[in-house]
Amino acid sequence: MKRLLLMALFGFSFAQETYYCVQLGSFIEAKNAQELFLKVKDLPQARVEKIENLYKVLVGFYKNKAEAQRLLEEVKRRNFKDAFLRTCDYIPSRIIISNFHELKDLDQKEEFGIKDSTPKGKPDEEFYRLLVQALLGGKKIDSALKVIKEALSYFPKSYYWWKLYGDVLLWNSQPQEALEAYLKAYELSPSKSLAERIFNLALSLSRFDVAQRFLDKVDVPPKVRIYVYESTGDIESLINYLKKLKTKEGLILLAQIQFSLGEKEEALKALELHDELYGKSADSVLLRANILFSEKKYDEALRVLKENYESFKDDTEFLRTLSDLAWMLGDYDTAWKSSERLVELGKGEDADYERLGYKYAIANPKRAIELSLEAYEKFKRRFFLEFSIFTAFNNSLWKEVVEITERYKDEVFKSPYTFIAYATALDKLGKTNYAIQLIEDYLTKNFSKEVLNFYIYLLAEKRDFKKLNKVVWDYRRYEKDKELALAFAYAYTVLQNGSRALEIYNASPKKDEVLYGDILYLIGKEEEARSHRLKTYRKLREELKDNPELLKSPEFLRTYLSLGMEFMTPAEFEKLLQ
Amino acid sequence: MNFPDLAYLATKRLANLTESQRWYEEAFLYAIYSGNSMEAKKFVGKFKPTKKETYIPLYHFLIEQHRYQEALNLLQEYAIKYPEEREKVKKELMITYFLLGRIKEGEEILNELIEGKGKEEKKKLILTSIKKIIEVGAYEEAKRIIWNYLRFFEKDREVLKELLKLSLQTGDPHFAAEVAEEIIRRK
Repeated sequence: MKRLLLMALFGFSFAQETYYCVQLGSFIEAKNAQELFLKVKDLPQARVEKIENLYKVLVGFYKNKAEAQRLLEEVKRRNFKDAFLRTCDYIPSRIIISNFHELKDLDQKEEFGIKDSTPKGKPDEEFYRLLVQALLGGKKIDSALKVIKEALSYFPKSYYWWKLYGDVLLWNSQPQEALEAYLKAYELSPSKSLAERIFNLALSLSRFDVAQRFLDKVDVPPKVRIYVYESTGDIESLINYLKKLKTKEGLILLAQIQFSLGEKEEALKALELHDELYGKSADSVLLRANILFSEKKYDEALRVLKENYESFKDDTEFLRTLSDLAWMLGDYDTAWKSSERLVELGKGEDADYERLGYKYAIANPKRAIELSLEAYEKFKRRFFLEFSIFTAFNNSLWKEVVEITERYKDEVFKSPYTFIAYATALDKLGKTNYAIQLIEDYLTKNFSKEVLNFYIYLLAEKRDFKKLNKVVWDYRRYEKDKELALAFAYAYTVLQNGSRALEIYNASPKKDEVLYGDILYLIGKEEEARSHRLKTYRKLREELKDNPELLKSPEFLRTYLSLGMEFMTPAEFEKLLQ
Repeated sequence: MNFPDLAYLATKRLANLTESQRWYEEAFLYAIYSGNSMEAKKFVGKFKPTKKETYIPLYHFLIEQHRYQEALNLLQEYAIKYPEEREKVKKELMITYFLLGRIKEGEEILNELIEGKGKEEKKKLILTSIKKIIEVGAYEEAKRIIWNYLRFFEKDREVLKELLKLSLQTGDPHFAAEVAEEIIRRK
């Protein structure tokens, strides 16, 4: 054997040494030789050689004739009666098949008919594989796809081709088609790795129907599994899965779903289980409160939240809900507490600042101003700017009014009301001339009835007759304006022009009984004036009896006091003043 | 112990005793006859072949040891000394040229060899040649020959498969892809 191998190595075809061997048969058809070969392939150096168009089945290779003779006897004992001894050459190229010679040459195999059992005309899978390998190596994706398609027409049940088709389609940016190919491959040969590929591809393509089919075939994190159920809308499967899963987030989601399906009792049970297994969470408390709220158990919902304030006072959503619910239910202290906490955490929204603004507007106006300005900076809502100015104005914090205005001058000047607050503050701080200068400038640039009204009263109050005269002259076209007539009537009264004052007063839809009395007095109807004032005083006194709260109205108080001066006893007047 | 084994032992002893080229050659031959190639290798280089039957095994040893130029010299000497054997060693000569990277000379012999040969013989010669050319890394030559022979075997799927495999072995994926596309075109 060794010798033969060596000879094979050296290619003794040219030395053509003569050896002895045993011939068992000679055939025209390779197949017949193959059959015989298979029967004797255990004998030494069994082989088929093709010699001049005949396929000869031979065994042995001996220099020594006696040894060959012994082999012949052995062969005959096996009932190969026609076997005979002969000389033979070792010519490897002749050997088609043997038990010692590895055939590498495909042509030989084909010739012998042992390799390619595929009938002619039938496709050769290896050939297709090689073509695709070469085409893919050269990045000829389109050509490769054509070949694969052709291969698939011949091998439609081949996992290999469907899988490869999927891969190549994916490389060719055809993920949808790739998914279909992978699905076929999976049908033919299911495997976890392919299932994972299909699942991920399906997810990326939003083919949740496919992803759901593979949920139990791959390792899927709960979140992804839930996402798939949610996306397919298979709520029943999702609920069943969550019931089994019993994770912290899973139970919350279960409760949410059940709540949204109207299964409130079930939802509350899921929350109970959640709290039992994992302790309360902001989510579970909030959801419980939501469920109670939906059942119109508002106070209970609020109680659930309030009870858990300390545990979740850092949770924005919890605080937000608590603040809103408490505000809605009129539990302002709780609402303020929650909003204050949200502001502290830097999570305050405009509603929180608004609520806190109202809280502090009277009790701590400076804090209200501070919060409103913070909110204005944060949300750029004009409301907060105005709120800060009016809070300062209402609390006579003139310096603050001026400071805020000077910080946001353009914005403040956009509204006549905030401008008036500013002008008032200047006046109160002794900067009346500057205020007047600003008002005149304002009226020239952005005429406003409100500012003119304010200006007339300011000049009247300051007894600046010269400027007042000029103003009523300059703006006389507004003197019968329904919003300004009363101010003009007052101005004419101050300027001692009674008849003009009466004319304007009569044209005004708004009335001021004290002013009317003054006008009557001015035009010489002193008795009528007194009688009018007394009548008005009595009327107000009756109103006050019915509603003592009227004293809180500065307008009412001003009128009542100015009339009272004339008709009250000094003791009564003193008491009222106090 | 059979005759070649005995003869080998005897000639080896004589060779060692005499250090004569003649006995080294004999020992070399008997080592081969007795199937002991490892022993035979020991004598390579210690003698110049004088016997006709020494040349070819010695040639194969030299090839095995990649001593291609010496193998070529040996073949040429053999062909001169035994002109009647010249035709028989043509294939070896061709392979040796290819192994030496002398592709053109090898190709000339290939053309002579395939002339008048049957289809099967032609296939073997061509495929063997390409394999050898690839073996020595003459990829561009290999690519040229593969491309040339594609059309001759356009209906022979097995040869096309081999050519495709060889084209992949050239290490040029673009070439292999071109070969694949050419095969598809000619299908």
